[in-house]
Amino acid sequence: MSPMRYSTAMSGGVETALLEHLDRSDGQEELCFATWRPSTGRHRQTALVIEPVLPLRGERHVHGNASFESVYALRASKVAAQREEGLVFLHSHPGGAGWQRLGGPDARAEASIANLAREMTGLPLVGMTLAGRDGSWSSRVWDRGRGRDVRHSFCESVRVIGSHLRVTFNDELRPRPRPQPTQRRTISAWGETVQADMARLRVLVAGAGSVGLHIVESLARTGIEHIGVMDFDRVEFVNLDRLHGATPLDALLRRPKIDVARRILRHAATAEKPFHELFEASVCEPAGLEAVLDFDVVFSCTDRPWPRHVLNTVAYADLIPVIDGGLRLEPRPEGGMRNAYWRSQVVTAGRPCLVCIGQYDPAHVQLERDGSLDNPTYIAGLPPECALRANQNVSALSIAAASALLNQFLSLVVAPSGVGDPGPLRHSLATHRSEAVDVACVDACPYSQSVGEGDRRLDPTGPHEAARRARTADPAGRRLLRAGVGGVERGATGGAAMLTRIAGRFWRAQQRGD
Amino acid sequence: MPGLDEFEAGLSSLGLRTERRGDLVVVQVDVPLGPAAGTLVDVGTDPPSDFPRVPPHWVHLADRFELPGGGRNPSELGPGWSKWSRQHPRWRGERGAASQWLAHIRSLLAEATVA
Repeated sequence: MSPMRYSTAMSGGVETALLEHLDRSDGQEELCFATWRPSTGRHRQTALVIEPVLPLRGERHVHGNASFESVYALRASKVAAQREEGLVFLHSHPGGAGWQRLGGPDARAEASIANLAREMTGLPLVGMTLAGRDGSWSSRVWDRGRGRDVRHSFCESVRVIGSHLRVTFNDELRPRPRPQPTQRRTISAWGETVQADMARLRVLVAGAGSVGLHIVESLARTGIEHIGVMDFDRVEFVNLDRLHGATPLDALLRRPKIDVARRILRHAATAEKPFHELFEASVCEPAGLEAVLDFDVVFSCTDRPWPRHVLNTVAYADLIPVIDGGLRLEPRPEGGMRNAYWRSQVVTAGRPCLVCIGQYDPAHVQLERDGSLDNPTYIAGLPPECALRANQNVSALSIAAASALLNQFLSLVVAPSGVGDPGPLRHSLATHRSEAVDVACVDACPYSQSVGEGDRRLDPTGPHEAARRARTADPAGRRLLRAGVGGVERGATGGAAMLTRIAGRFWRAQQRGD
Repeated sequence: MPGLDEFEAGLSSLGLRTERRGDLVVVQVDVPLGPAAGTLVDVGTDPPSDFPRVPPHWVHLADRFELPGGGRNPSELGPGWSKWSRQHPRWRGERGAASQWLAHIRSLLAEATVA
């Protein structure tokens, strides 16, 4: 079991409130406190910064550097304890840029309150530094030792979800990937810094279906290092008209869709050190949700209400942007097609949620949980116009939907001309028009009010019978056949991979002019 | 099960009696309209662990009730009970949602027929 990694996240609104205090016009250092809540994944815990606790008169002093009175630390700790949250200590380096190391005086200041914070709140102190020149954040968690021997662990990243997603990476824990010759055209589109930041995002594709597998390939080719794919489903013959990369042999063997994803990732990855995680699970299962919380961005490539409900929950509660979309086809009952629509949107703090957009109905979630949506008798009893009965799909339109989601991703992380994701979009095949879906969350929307709840979220997961059945239902004969065919394929793939490596070396040598 | 607790607490605050039977909750609902108007009717349902974000779906009623639109199923509450697939039409999941569920049930009972 690898040790827990740490990261920090905050909404754009919280960052704005902190910057108004920390980013001084006179160029002096500044400090303040805030509160945080944990969001705990399988291998990563994220400190979600929630509420600034700004100093009252006389509680801190600015003299080029900044210092605080113990009464301020005590008051802030009490506020955090009353809210059942942890304590964050923040200070600024007005001349700094990029991830900041922790110097002696700063470390001593944080160490001096680390025990107080832990004892009063039950959570370790989080220290954060703002680099004033470029607005970068860095952070650490005082998680080790006691008394005078208290020590910190650095976070791997700090993400801010404002008009776009801005992440500062700790280059020691998440080193800048070296640009690869295969990525030359991609990097020339936005430069090495954008590429390095994008490539270090941990990106999960939830749903390896007709849309998800196209996204998986594009992310791998773009150079994203850590790509996760989660799906419990198996390839069937009825999928072959649209499932990118799937073959009749996959359908015959009823291969897990994540095995198709694994094959695509292996062939398409341009990152020097790709790290691919495949989860034969559903986001609706407790272990699936735990895995989701290790990622910085999630693609929602599922059309079912329960997984959308889970992802809608974490998009706000855990500040993980979810890029959602889907297809709706309208065949004419008498034959022919009325229209087809595909939608795309980013959901997270500051954006409308999937319920308010109308992407799923919460009243359908319980139906999926009790297995009714997998019960052909129940589905047959639904009215013909019910959305739950729709199962049309077309390969070309899946590609269009995947492209729409990927464009939302690019806007979210690259922010061309400083413009982030455009909000919900709807594309119509009949008119070949894209239109903005002008919708906001209702006043009492529980999702937009749950920003930063983290581990306090109402648990949306539960036992998932369809996922369990998919993992265990194979007869022994099919499992044996799959293992045998897999062995032959691995041998052939090994040979092909060797040829590919030789070709790569030859190509790189040619590029160098050897 | 925080959702079940919240569901029961919400209905208790509205003056209704509830009884937990396994994962289901049976609520004694006073019916203002329809053939059962003026009586107390036991209604079973399946509040999820994340109520009120997600509403209960199934409506369990004594066999003598018939809801328009069909869809009678055997109930986990045992003999004498049937369950009906009836989703809430406009659920938003706000706090205080127990009263939304109650209004949904009362409107269903107003249209029910009683043997």
